[in-house]
Amino acid sequence: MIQLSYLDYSAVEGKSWLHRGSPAMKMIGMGVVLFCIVTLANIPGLLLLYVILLGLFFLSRVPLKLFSLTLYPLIFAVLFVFLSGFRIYFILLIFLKVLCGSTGVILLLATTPYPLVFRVLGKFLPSLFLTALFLTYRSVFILLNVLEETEHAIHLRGGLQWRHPWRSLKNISNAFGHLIIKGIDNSEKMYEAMMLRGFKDKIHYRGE
Amino acid sequence: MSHIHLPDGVLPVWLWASGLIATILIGTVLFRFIKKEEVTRRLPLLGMMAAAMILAASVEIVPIAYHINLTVISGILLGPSLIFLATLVTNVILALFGHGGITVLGLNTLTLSIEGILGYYLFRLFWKLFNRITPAVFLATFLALLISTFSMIGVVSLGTSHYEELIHQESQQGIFEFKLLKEKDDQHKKEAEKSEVNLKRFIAIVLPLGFIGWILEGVITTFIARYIQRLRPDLLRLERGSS
Amino acid sequence: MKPEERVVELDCITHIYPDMTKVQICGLEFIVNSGERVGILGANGCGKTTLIKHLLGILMPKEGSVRVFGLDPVKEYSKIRERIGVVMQDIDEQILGPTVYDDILFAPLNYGIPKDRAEAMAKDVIERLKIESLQGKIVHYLSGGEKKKVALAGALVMAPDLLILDEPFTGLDPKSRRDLIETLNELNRERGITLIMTLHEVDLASEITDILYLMHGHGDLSERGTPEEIFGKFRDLERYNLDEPTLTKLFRGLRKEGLDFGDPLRVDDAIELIKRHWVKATKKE
Repeated sequence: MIQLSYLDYSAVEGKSWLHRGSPAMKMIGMGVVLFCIVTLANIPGLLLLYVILLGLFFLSRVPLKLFSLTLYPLIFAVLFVFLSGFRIYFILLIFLKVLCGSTGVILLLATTPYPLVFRVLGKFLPSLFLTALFLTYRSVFILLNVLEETEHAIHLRGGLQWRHPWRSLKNISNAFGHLIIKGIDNSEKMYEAMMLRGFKDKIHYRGE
Repeated sequence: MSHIHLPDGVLPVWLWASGLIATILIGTVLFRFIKKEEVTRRLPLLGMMAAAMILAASVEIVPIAYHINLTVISGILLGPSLIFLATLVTNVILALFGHGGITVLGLNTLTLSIEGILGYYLFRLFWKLFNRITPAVFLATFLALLISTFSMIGVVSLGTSHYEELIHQESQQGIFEFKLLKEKDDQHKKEAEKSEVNLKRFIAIVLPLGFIGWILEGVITTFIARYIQRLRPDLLRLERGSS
Repeated sequence: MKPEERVVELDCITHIYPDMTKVQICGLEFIVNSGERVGILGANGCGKTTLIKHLLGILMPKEGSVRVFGLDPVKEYSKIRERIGVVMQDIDEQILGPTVYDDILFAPLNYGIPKDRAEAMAKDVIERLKIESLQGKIVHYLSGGEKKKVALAGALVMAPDLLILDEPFTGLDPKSRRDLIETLNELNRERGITLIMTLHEVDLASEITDILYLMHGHGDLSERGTPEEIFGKFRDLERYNLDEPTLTKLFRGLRKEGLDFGDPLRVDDAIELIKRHWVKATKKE
């Protein structure tokens, strides 16, 4: 499971020089990384970029646990192995592009709290969309609690046993159903709170 | 399966840029034409459903990093215009978590929202036909995912010449540059034959995996819909009596 | 009582939920006067939150009338919104800003208050509630008690005339509870803020309320009085699924044993009474 809360926590609690760096500069840096990924088509160049990103990753003391997040997209890059006729060069190229992209973005989010990332995005995005982003991010953590508690409850009560796959599948589905209904109930309460507090069209944030 | 976990830098620039432009245009049109009060009123719901989709993407159902999307059920609950906005928000946040590329955001949003929008309309159609939740939801999910998987394959296939360029990059890098001229020419020919992008092989892998995914997500979405129908039938906005 | 001193008037309302459950909040007229601290005591599911939601205009009564500051909260809430601060039971959905500071600024900025004035208001409430250390924190990492303080700050930042709290003490540890009681009493004493709260902690009722309403069944408002009247004379709390306050039980038990110290509801009053009796008793000896 993608450790969303751990990623977010690292951004908030980290104290390295990269954590203290300007969010705008870090996002520009990510833009440069993306530019390199898109334009570079040679392995040495991409390898150098990856080494630099890895260096930053370890120098900024981002928890090692988060390193596995950068490897996750490789699973899907494997599909490209079949596209290419097993050309080693092409496979390496693809894998390096994947790793540079995922490492860059995880590095950004592990060293920059999300309100600061969204604050920079807010300079380019319409306010309603930005509000949707803020509300969604907030909702992820509200529902994450619900999901974790439901998962624990199902597990403790024997609801997930792979020798009973059909029942397990039903239990997982009901857990998601519960998550959705809880989410909808929560959204109604959230809307009430927004109206009670005079919400018009945007969530204001510091530095806006 | 239809969620493109393509990395950045693989698809040609014109393709992912077109995806971004199309998404921005559609998003702008939707924001303009849906009444502002309606969007504001439904923002928390949009946020929660997008959050549910993000969390679903984080939960591995089968240990080959397979996860469900919840796009179809979200489409049924949110409606066609809001599901587009919800998938856009979902993809932005997932991209920030390294789950999907940033440049392919637009293409991801288009293919995922096809699932949600088709899911919504197919569900309405099958509900009218069968008047039963189980076949209506299962078939809607299965078909929506089938179509969006094919659209994903279509997107990938549009970049074929770009992949060939990337593959040829190797031979143009001068690996064989110290060979004699004639041999270099022969080598080039052989390389050209070997390096054809094999879309058929790609499809042969994606479709069976996809098929399993469509069935699995169809079953899960059906159970979810039945759960919701038991507890909050008003959310499904069914017109006739249900079973 | 002059009409302008009445903050809330609610008279026999009926509400029907989507699952067709009918709730009738009837019996006594629910009246709250300016500067009062009013508590609504009742078991879970008796309709306390339904009553609160009617006061906030979130629910519309099918029958009956609700007036807040003389206006219908369903139709005219925007005219009274800035005068009302709310702390709902489910805190998470109420805290909307990315950081604590952003959340406190949420309402003032929404109401068009200039940024520097809004920031001054936020600073004031942050100092009052002593949450300076929480300002820059991201909301989902706060403890339950901290979230409650943040929600309270968000409710108080506009210096409301009326503060409505739905089960504010649920989930708080004893120290946080004590802090909250002190803060609310201070606000009432110094700024004259009217308080309406729902609760089922009978031990706290006498410390935080001037007037108590008892609610039971499905919305039956059947008793009204001061905490002394409700707990001192009224014995039928079991009907409301409520227990007597600990001090009431203690002193009633002592009275049965022939030791009549009276019916104090607060610890300070109890200490005074015991001290007085002890001094009297030692003098006699």
